[in-house]
Amino acid sequence: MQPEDATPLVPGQTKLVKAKTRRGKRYLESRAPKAIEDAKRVLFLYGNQTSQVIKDVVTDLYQLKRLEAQKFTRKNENVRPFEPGGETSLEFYCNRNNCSLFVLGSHSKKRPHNIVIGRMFDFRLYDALEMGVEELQVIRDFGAAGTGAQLGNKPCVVFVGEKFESVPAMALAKSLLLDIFRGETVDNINLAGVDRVVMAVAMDDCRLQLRQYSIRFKKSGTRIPRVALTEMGPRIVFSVRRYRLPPSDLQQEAMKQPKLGKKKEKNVSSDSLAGKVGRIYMPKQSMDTLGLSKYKGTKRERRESAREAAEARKRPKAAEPVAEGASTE
Amino acid sequence: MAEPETAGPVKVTLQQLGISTGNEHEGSLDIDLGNLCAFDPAPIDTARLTVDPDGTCAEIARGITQALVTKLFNLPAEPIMGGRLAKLPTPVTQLPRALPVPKAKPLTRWQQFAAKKGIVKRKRSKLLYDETTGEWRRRHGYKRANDDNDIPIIEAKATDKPGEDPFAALAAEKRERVKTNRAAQLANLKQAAKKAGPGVLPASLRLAATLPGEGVKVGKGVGKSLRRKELKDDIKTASRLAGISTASIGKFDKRLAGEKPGERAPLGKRRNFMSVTDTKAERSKTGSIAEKLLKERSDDILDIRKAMTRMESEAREERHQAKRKREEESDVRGGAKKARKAGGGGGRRGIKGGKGTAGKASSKGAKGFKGAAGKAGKAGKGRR
Repeated sequence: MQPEDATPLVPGQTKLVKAKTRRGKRYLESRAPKAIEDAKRVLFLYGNQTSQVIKDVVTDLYQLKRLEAQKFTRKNENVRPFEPGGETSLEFYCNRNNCSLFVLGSHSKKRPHNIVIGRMFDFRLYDALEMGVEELQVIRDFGAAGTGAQLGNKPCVVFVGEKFESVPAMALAKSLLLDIFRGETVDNINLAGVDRVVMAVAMDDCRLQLRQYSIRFKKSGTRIPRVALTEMGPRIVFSVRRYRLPPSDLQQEAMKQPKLGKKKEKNVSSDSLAGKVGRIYMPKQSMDTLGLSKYKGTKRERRESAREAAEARKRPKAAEPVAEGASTE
Repeated sequence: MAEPETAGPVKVTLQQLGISTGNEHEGSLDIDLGNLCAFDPAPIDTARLTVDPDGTCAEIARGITQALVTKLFNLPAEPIMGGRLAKLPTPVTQLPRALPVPKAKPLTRWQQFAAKKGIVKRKRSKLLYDETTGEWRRRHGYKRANDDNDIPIIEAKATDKPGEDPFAALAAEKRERVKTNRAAQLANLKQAAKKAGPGVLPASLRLAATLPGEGVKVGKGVGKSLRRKELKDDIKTASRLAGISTASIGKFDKRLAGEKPGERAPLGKRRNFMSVTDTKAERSKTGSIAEKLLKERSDDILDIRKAMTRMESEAREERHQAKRKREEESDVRGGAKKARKAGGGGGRRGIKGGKGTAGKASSKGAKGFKGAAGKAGKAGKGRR
């Protein structure tokens, strides 16, 4: 229903379609492209068949990323990122759930215990890496070691092995793992919240080991604490299978970095007369409970007034019984 | 405690002091503090890994994490409740983005004009002095200053016509201003979308095409007339259908006042059936159908009589020429008659030549004619 003074719609021309509710508007704006992006959300889903191993891996990784992830429970048989045309369903799901990363677990005779980790650019398939799970130890197997680490904290990510540079599949694995585990980009970090380390070791050309430790800071006598690690998280040995590199035009588009202007400092302006001028906003102060400062010049006066006050308190006490006695008598 | 008598520095180890940060990782590390990431590019000792995987991994992890933590704690930080807030540098590792970089919006018409003229945007004050109440009120919102709705009396001017409502005039002006502003906003958005693509619009807005029939219910201008026309057509169709939904298809119903004769007639042509008793008409009709079919199936459009006369004239010519030849051969022996006959013959020959060419020209046709004549003959026979 348009208000009476609205522009009349003419068929064949363009009209403006706005978000119908304020909540809808805010949601659409939250999904719009930004200069500095939010944490990438991960979509966890299963393929045509699954095994217990795969279910454990997917569940564990989901537990590590809970708030920034979406997990599908059903099996999806038409999700095949390595086949042409098999990525349309996946792109649709990622678009709907606002996820830019996905982890697809499946199991078949040809590819047992298969995990595909992939990325989207503008909700179109960008790149993907297929790995097979060879060994697995879930978080539960490590007992209560993980209770020190808090969900939502930014973990440290460590890569060991020169294969991460030399082998293209491993380089892709490094990029993907960093993208999954790093969380959101922040300017400041509370040093007490650095409590997890994810370590990836490139054992050889096609094997990769993933481990997670929880950090405890010990006293070291200096400002910098001593780090003590306890293994907490899933311990997975992957064998790298297929991989899919991004198309060159998408890659060019995706690697473009925005031009970030200098952040405007608030409450600071420059005046032609006074130069750099700042503003300070004072909170409201109640005059009754205001703590006044003591000046050395009034020390003697303060001392004398304190003594007089003390004497005044003693004198009525001394005078009272005499007065009472006198009255009764 | 007694101070040592020998002067000189006392060497104390870190261990004695109780300081132990643990061994840091030897060798170079690629550290990206913005991402809390560390990469050890040195080749790993696979032998050690196979022998004691857990211990080796733990050791390596501890060393690298210690190096990372050392760097983190050396960053500029400020104390907050529950820890220390360190200022992280920007991440160094280049990772692909999730969405494309937001495009800069092109300037609107006013912004372009302002840039050209050098007009600077100034912030308006939140409070405004209201003359009628004599107090400071907010500029927009509840109980705003100089509200149009709150004017109690408008004094008449000399130029005012009687019967005009100045309050209504004010409201109409406001509506007009709002309308132009909205139209200008839409025009700016369309221009921006045209210049830089749809990605430039704000996320909650889209531009879509208006469908025919979509419009304001009560409005002024083109929209209203289109809607009225549609409604009128709908009503007319409905009344016609209602009128012909009787047993006699509305033929004998009384016509209403103002109704035109064709308005309640059913649309479309009526079927007409031929009379059963009229044989002449039937015969002529079927005959015409047959003629039409035959005409369609004949190959050429030609006059059969003309074709036959041409054929006969050709045959006549051939006979004449043959005769001429025989006469010439006989004349070779007797030469006197030759000269006399040559002129005539030449003349005739000339004529013959003309005829001959005409015949030759039609010879092709003649072949066709023969066939046609044959067919026509056959057809004629069939017709009789």
